[in-house]
Amino acid sequence: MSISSLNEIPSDAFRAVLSISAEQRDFIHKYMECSDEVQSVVRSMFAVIDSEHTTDDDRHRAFATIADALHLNPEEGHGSYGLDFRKSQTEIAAKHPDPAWRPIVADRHAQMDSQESTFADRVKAILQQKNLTQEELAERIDCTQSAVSKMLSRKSRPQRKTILKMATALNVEPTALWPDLDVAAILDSTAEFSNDRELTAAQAEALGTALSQRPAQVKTRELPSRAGR
Amino acid sequence: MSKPITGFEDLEWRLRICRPAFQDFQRLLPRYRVRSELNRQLHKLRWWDPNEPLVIDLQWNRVEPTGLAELLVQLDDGVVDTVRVLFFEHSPNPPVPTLWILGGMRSDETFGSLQYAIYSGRSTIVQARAD
Repeated sequence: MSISSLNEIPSDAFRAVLSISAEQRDFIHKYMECSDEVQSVVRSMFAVIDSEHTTDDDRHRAFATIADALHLNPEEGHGSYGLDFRKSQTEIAAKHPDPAWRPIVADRHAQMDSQESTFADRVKAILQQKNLTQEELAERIDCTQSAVSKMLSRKSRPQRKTILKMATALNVEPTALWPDLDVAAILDSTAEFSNDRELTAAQAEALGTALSQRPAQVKTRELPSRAGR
Repeated sequence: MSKPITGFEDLEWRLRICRPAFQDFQRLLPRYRVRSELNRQLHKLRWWDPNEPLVIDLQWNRVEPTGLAELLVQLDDGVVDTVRVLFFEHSPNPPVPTLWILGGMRSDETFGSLQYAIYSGRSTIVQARAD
């Protein structure tokens, strides 16, 4: 059906248009500025949001995608769209939107740098002591010499399981390579918990499940009384 | 998607990230300590080689038939053990080979049609707007 005169438009449609809020008008305006492809993405995100199979996490991702589609202003200094990942990481300590977080971020970066430096120094020393090459170590832990080299030159941070593999390959305790391997995570987590004093949704759910379970039934029997008591 | 880059030896990719990816990570890993660990691990994508099964010491896979790829980062968070980070190659300026980080989810979450719609939608936005 084509509409040739305004009189043919149902009055309900007019009323609906006139009653939209400033935010809705802004949304429509930004949507109309998007290319056809991006408009199509926005529509498909609404389909995701409306699907009965959508989880809360998916809904959150779909809303984030819509917000991104309608965010037409590029980040300053990062090109026309998106962010330069390296730059975003180096800037975060100085430019975190919440100034209270800046020293926390800087401390964490310094801590990670120090961990990586200690690790590299210790592995290099052990390799020298045991007269092993990076290539031989790489072979023992199923990765490339180039990967070992990048970890030892502090260009990349080893995963926990890589540290464990290296420790086995070098026949040393994992803490000889990464001194705070076991305790760091627990201490950091405890420190953070005392900072923000709240559980994540997943932690709260896990705790709720654990608390709702009946305690394990343990068989008991009365001990015989001691003679003379 | 732009024409894939060939000749990966010693190639160092430029890494770019779309804003919703940060929002995914923030929701998935509310604790900064864990998120910062993930961010450090993601730098390894600079040395991604499509012909190698590992990126340094991280496993990655193609998510067929989507054109996207996933990087599996083990975090031992206690809540989230392993994160699946979705990325893809899009180099609008071919002399600067570029990988885009699109977002992340727990590795034990299903990657079905809804999730595909979300991440392919994000890749469409990248392709429409990145230069």
